[in-house]
Amino acid sequence: MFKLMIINLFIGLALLSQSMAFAAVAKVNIDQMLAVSALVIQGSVIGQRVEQGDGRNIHTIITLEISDTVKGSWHQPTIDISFLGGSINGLALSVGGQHIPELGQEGVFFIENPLQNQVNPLFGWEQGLFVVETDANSGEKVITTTSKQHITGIEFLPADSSQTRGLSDGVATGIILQHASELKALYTLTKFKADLRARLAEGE
Amino acid sequence: MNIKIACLFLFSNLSLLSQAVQSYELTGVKWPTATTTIEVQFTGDPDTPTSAGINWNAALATAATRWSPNFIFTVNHPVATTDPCTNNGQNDVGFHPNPCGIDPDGSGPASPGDNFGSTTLGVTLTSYNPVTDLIIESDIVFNSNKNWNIADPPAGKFSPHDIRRVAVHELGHLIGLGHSAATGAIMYPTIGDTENPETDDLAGLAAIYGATGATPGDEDGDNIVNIQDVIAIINIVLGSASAQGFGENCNANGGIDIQDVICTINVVLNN
Repeated sequence: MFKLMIINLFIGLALLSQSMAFAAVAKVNIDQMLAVSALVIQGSVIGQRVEQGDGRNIHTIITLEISDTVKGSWHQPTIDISFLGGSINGLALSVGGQHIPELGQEGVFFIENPLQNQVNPLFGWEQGLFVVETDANSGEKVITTTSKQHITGIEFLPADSSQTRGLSDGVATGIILQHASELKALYTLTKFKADLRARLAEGE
Repeated sequence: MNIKIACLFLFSNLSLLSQAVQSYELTGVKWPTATTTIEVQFTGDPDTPTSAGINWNAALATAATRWSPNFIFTVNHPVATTDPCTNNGQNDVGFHPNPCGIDPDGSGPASPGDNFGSTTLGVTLTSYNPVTDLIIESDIVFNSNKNWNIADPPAGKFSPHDIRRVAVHELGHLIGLGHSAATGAIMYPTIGDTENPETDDLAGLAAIYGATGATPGDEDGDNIVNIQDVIAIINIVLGSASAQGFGENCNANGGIDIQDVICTINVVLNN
C-alpha cells in the first residue's frame, strides 16, 4: 500500500513535465519583432485541424479569433495560421521546436506574413507569442512567455546588440523576465499593447 | 504510520530536488537502438572549403562523430546530392531553400527563403509512428538562404552561422533530445563555446537508450545491483554526486530521480 502511494505520487509529478524540442531559430529582439511582423494581434485559439498534403507533409492549422489588432489589418474577425507538423492517419510529423498554440489559448501573436504559409508563422517561433493570463492577485490580464515565465516589462535594444546573437531560447531579447526573488509588478496586457503602439508611432 | 508519512515527505522533497538535477529534455520519440545512418551530400560544390578550410560534408561527418560512442551515426556520402525533402525512408541532411512541402499561397513555390520565415536557420523533420513513438525518418534541412561557415559569428552579428556546431545540436534533436537548461550543454539553445555533447547531454541520451551493456540499476557499473547503487543514486538525486550514466537505465523514464531509487531498491529486494 505504502509503495503504491509513493508510486502514485511520483506518477502524478512525472505527468507535470512536458517534453519539448527546438529547431535552429535565430534569437530576435522585440524591436525586430514589431518591425518585421506584418500583423500583431491579440486573439484566442477557437479551432484546430490537421491536414495532410503529399506524402508526409502534415500541417496543423489553428483558427484565431481576433480581439484586438496592434499592427496591420485583417479583413475578417478570424484568421487561420498554419504550422508544419501534426498527427493524422497513423502518421506523425514532428518539427523540432514547434510549439502549436492550444485550443482556448489567448495570446498576442506576432505573425510574420499572414498571406504566406511558413514552417512556423510566428516571427522567431516561440518568441513571437505572448500568452495572456489573468493575474490571480490583481485580476488583471498579464502576459507571460510560452513557458509561463512572468514578464515585468520590455526594453527596445539595437538589433546588433550582443544580446541578440545565436539561437533562440524561446524568449526574445528585450523581454524583461521576473526573477523569483522579485516582487515587481507583472506586465499587464494593456501596458504591453500601449508600449508596442507607442513604439510604432515613434517610427511613423 | 508516522514513519511512512515521514518517508513520503522525504521522497516528495527528493523528487522536487530531482527536477533541478535534470536539465535535459526529451522529444518523446526515439530510434529502436542508439544508432542510425545519415546521408550527407551537399548541393553545389561540397568540396569548396569554407574559410576554416573544411568542406561541408566533412563538417557534418565531424559533427556526427561528436555523439560517438554513446550514439553511433554511420555517415554516407552518396554521389547524388542529398535532398532532405525527399520522403525516402532515409535520414538526409542538406541545404534547401524552403522547409519542404510548403506551398505558400497555393500557387507554387515561394521566393527563396520566404517560407522558412526570416528567423529559421534550419529544421529537423521527424516522421514517427504515433503508437510506438519510434522514428521512421528524420531529415535535417539547413536554410540555404542563410550565410554559413565553420566559425562563430562575431559578437553582435547574426551570421555567418557555424554549421558544425548547429549540426551537433540538430543531430541531438534527431536522436530524441530536446533543449537543456544546463548552460554548458550542446543542447543549450544559445550558441556558446561548446562543440561537444557534455555530461547533461549524455545523461539525456542514456535516459532514452540506456547505458549500453549496463545492468538496470547498476549505477556504479560493477555489474552487481546492491545497496551501494541505491546510495549512489540517492547522492545523484541530492546533487552531491554526478551521474555515471547507468542509474537512469533502471526505469528509463527520462531522468535520474526518486523513481530510480525506488526501482533500484526493488531490484535489490528481488535479487
